[in-house]
Amino acid sequence: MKIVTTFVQGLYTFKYDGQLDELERLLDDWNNPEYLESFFEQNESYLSYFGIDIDTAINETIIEAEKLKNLLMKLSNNNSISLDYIFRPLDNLEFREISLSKQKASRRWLRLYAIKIEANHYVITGGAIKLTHEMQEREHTKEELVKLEKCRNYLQSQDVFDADSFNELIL
Amino acid sequence: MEQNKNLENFLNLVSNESSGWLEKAQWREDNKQWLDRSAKIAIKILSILRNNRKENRLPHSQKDLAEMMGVSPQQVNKMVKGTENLTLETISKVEKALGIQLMEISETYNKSLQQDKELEPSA
Repeated sequence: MKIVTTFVQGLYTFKYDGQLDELERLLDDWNNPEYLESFFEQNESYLSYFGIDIDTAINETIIEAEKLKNLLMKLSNNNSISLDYIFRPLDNLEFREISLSKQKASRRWLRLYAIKIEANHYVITGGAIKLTHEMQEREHTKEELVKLEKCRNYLQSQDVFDADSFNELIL
Repeated sequence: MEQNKNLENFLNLVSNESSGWLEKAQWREDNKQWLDRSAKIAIKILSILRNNRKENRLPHSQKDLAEMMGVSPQQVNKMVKGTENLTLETISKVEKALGIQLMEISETYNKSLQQDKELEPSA
């Protein structure tokens, strides 16, 4: 695995062997109707909670991905925006009661997961479309927790220690 | 001091390579208008194929659709990724194979064409 720069000051991303870097891969997937259709077809039962069908879910994900792209482009042009303001500790958020109802209302289900190295220095390990409250509930979000752990172990083996618990970016 | 060492160790791990997201994002930004339409067409095609699968109707796969359109399955696969700059000919083939209309000229545009015609000096 490699760590590459992202054009956003202080933001880095992992690039796993034989793949695109995680930031590029996620933005590709979240803009790809075919990928999204397959994902939402597999997770169709969770969409009933949001009261929407697959077509709407695909449309809304593409709109959310556009917002994320715009935010990242803004960050790449403006060094004064703090990454600490944008990323939130993952563990705290998991236990915040209001987050689920908030998520339901706005359907902000795209997540970038990152490890905080120091203040305003983050490295993205992956991301997910998070339809359930707990990451352990779905296989694809559970996999993201495994990736976070693996990346942390890799960093520790190179004498780099995370400053905080795992973090996530929510639009 | 220890914190700086930690950051230094991290920065030593960062390769010279850069993420490819920005170049693609810029391209998306520059081509937004037709990409949005291309994605909507892709969603519509996928939706019809999905419904056809449920109702056991043809075409219900990208391969079926490709056969009906007389194009390669790879071409259809590119279409459903939402990044294909489709020609009018391809759109017409999709419309015929799926029995739907994907594009139409808006009523406002038709009216404006009609008005232009009315204003033309008679021969």
